Amino acid sequence: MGNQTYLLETNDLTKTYKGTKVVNGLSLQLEEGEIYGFLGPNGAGKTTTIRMLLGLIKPAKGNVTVFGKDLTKERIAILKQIGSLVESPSYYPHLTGKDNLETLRKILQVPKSRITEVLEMVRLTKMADRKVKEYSLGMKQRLGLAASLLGRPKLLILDEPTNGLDPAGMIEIRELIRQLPAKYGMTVLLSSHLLTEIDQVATKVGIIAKGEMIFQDRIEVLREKASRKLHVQMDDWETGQKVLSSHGIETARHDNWLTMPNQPDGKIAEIVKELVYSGLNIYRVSEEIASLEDIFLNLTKGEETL
Amino acid sequence: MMFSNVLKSEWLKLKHSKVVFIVLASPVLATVIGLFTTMHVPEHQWLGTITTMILAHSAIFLPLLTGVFAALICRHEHSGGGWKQVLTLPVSRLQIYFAKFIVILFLLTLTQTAFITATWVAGTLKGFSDPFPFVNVFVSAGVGWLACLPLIALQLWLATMLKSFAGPSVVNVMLTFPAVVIANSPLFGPMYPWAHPLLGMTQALSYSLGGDAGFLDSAVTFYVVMITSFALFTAVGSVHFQQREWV
Repeated sequence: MGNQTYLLETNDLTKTYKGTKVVNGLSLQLEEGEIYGFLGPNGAGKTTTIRMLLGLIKPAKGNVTVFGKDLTKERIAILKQIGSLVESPSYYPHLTGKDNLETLRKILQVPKSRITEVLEMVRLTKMADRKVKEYSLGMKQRLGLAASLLGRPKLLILDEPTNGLDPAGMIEIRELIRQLPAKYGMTVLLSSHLLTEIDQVATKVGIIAKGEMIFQDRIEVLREKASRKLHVQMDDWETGQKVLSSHGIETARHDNWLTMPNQPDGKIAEIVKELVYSGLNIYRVSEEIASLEDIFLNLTKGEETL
Repeated sequence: MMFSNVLKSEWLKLKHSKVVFIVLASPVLATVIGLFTTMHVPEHQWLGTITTMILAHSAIFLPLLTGVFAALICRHEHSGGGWKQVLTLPVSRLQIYFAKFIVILFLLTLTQTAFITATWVAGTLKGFSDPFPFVNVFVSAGVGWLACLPLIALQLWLATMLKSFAGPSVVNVMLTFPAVVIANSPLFGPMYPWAHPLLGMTQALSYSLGGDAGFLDSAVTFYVVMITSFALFTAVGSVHFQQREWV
């Protein structure tokens, strides 16, 4: 193992259900102050992993270290500094929003004013004295988020936190999450099946598919994985193709567009020059950048990639 | 973390839950039955009414109540997905389990207290002039309370294991109804925990009055079964709660 200390680290984390490995050899590293986007299609093993991180279920193999402590040995000390929201929000429908938080506050032993604070943070102040059974799904989700923030955790683990929110609510919650590291010194692990969710807040990304971590790095590195292509539109594509092929560049054609792998700047200048010298009329030169969504789909569709 | 904080948290969850109606249901019903009973023991003015009320309360309602309380105390964790929230709090699972256990015991205490009051109310309304045999009714209610312990331990185990409101209740109802018949068997009665509230309450009353209602053939069996089943159900239930996977 590396000598770097992580805020949260898993080693070879594996969970088996009925002989199937739903999480397989997962090594996840989370540094302090990061917003870690835990990304994967539904059923990839995200929630199972998160449940293991919180000690709700036991791994078949491997271990979880949080704040440098072993989860199996010091679960309670670790949980003291973790706030979490797993899958759907948990709530007591017959109690008001405030009383729901009070059931947790009694155990977490934070001042009563903290309830007002977290309700403010998720913009639920107006609904505080209403019973939760009157809440919309979005409000319940906000309450769940408020509950996770209640104990001023150092680490926040949020499983699909924007589920059930309307677009405006999503933006609001995303903005809130984005501020957490700088404003409150929190580190966040955020799971989602939507890349756009992660793309806008995460500093680091882990992609899980079929229980295995297939990518884990800074989000910029993921972007570089984009397969860029160069498209050139011209009048006489047949000549163009010959010219380029004599320079060792294989192209594909669509109408009068020639498509080739992306080239460095100097090479592109050279290609254009050659084409023009060969008497061709160049109409357009354009670069295609695969969206992160494409990369994500590519990564998760099968085992052949990466 | 202090255990009392966990208890306070559990207690708060009962707010607005209308649990008071469940606590009072059996004592109120017993009062009505007590008012209309024609059973009369010549040498003791209160005895007929109190015995009738004890039978009504302890044969069916008390065993059923243990299941209802257990289901109620886990109900919102089941329906609202609360287990994953409660169990990621910085407290041990056993503290959660026993906090729930103690809240159930407290509700049972309220019921038994209400029952003692109910016997007094029924007799007073009937205009009994002899002094209210408080000690005898108190002893009976107390032994009834003890006799419910194994059932509570079992019901809490089932309620946390089956993760549903209906499951444990159905089990409890099915095991409670034969209790009336089984209680009549001197051999099997003391061995059947669902017959224990009835056996315990009736026997304790008559014993405290210096008699023997004859319901209990073997007091030793009764207490051995009570203590061992209580210990067994508590141990299995709490270990299961601690070890299980919270998926």
